[in-house]
Amino acid sequence: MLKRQLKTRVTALREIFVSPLYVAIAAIGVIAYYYLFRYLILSSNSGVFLLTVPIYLVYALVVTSGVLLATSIHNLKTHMQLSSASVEEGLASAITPLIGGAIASCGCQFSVLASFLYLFGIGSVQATSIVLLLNAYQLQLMVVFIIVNLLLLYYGLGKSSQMRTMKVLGKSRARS
Amino acid sequence: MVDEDKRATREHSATQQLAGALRTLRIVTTLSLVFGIMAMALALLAINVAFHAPGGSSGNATGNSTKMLAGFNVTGPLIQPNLSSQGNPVITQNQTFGSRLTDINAPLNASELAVINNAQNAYFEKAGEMLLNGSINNTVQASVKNVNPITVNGKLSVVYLGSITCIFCGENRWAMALALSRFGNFTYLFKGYSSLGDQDVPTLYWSPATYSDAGFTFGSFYNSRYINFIAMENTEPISQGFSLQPFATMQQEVNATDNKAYIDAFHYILELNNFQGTPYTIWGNYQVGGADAVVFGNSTPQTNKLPLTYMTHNQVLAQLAAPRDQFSYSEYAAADLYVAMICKSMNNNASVSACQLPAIQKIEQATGY
Repeated sequence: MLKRQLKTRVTALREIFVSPLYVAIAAIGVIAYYYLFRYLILSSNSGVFLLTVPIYLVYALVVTSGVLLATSIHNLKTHMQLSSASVEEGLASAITPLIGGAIASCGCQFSVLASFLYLFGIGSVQATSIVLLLNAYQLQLMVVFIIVNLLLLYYGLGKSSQMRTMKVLGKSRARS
Repeated sequence: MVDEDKRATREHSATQQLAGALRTLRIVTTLSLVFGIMAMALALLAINVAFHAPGGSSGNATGNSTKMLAGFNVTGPLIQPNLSSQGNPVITQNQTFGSRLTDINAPLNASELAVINNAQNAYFEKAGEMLLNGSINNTVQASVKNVNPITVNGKLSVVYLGSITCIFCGENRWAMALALSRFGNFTYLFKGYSSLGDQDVPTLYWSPATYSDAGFTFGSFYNSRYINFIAMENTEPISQGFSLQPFATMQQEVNATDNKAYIDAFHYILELNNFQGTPYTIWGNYQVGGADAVVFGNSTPQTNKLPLTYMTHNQVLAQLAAPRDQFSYSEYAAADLYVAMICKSMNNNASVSACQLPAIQKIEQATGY
């Protein structure tokens, strides 16, 4: 059954990316998320691109986020065609590169991440402890974010496939 | 008729399923939208706060007063460390750059030490002029707060809290050593590295580090008529990445020394409550958050490969002995900022030649120390 579900999702993915529009959206998303990630690293480290996680994890994170962005937009567009509801955009793909960029660097400079915590009234000693904890598990957290992206993609493609089936049923009803 | 009913039922069921799917998708996308916007807003706000708050990582030397805690005055000896660290011997094996610990904990020989102790004032002057006229390519600026000084045995103090695993401590110790050499001298300095997971840059240690264990090393071999140097170095396994012990653990280690100067200095750091990363230093009346410069080569590197990682200690010392490039002048410029802070704290003591350098006095004016 898992094999069938995967096949359905792969088909849905292929159908989405047969359109140059969604390929372009994914590509723009990948580039934007990479530069967002890079900007956060540079902000945390006085302008030095100091990456302390393997670069391939960064690539995996931004690619999955870009693809997720494209499929989210596709699903929303399909939603618009079937309903007159107001437009909503899925920005789940933005969260993982944001957090990833804030932690995937040397934990010795706390600026960006600590600033988040200061906003919640956390003092510098407590903020230090939180930052150091995140820093200690930065590799594992990056992997978790990639998995989250893949799960959201799996979920979104399933819905996309379902909606496509409903759409086909709706058309055949209209014809008859 | 029956068939039509069945078809109608099927279609109704399909419509209901579709409605359900759409509802679920709507909830998910709405939540995604909300979280995404919150995350974006928080990120932008945080970056803005980091850049523009006093003492932010990109802030200029403001000289603003914040929490003006009473400083303290201690009488008593400072910690004298051991000349070697048991279980952490000098590594003599020649290793590849990036995963290199060759000569870690080896003391500098006489000629190497002379590069630091006997650095010419002219180099500080030239670097200072370059800093003032904007011809230093690397970032050299300090995030500074006015504080009341820590005085030990009647002398102002320089306090250092860092980690051997920290890359910014690693690159900044060169500038710190040069600055301290203007007010005294080192009888010993040791070759060291930042951690292998934190770019493995060659650096100086104030005393032999326990590089294979978590712990703390205290003290240095610095002597001066004018200032004290209170050095506290967190140590973690250097073969891993950056790591720093929790403050509670660090405080226990400091208290275990039973040395009042160190205990009070650490307590003062906690009271200031503005720790934002290592290195954390106090230079007389000035607390500096982070390194006062970012010097990993002749300019700020644009990739993850840092030129400093691929230098030996001898190469760094050779450049400092006869500065000709941006790297060496940047180190002297970074040292100039620290020298200016101490000079200002000492009211430009006439017996310290570095305090009479025109560049140092101009830096004091330009930065508002």
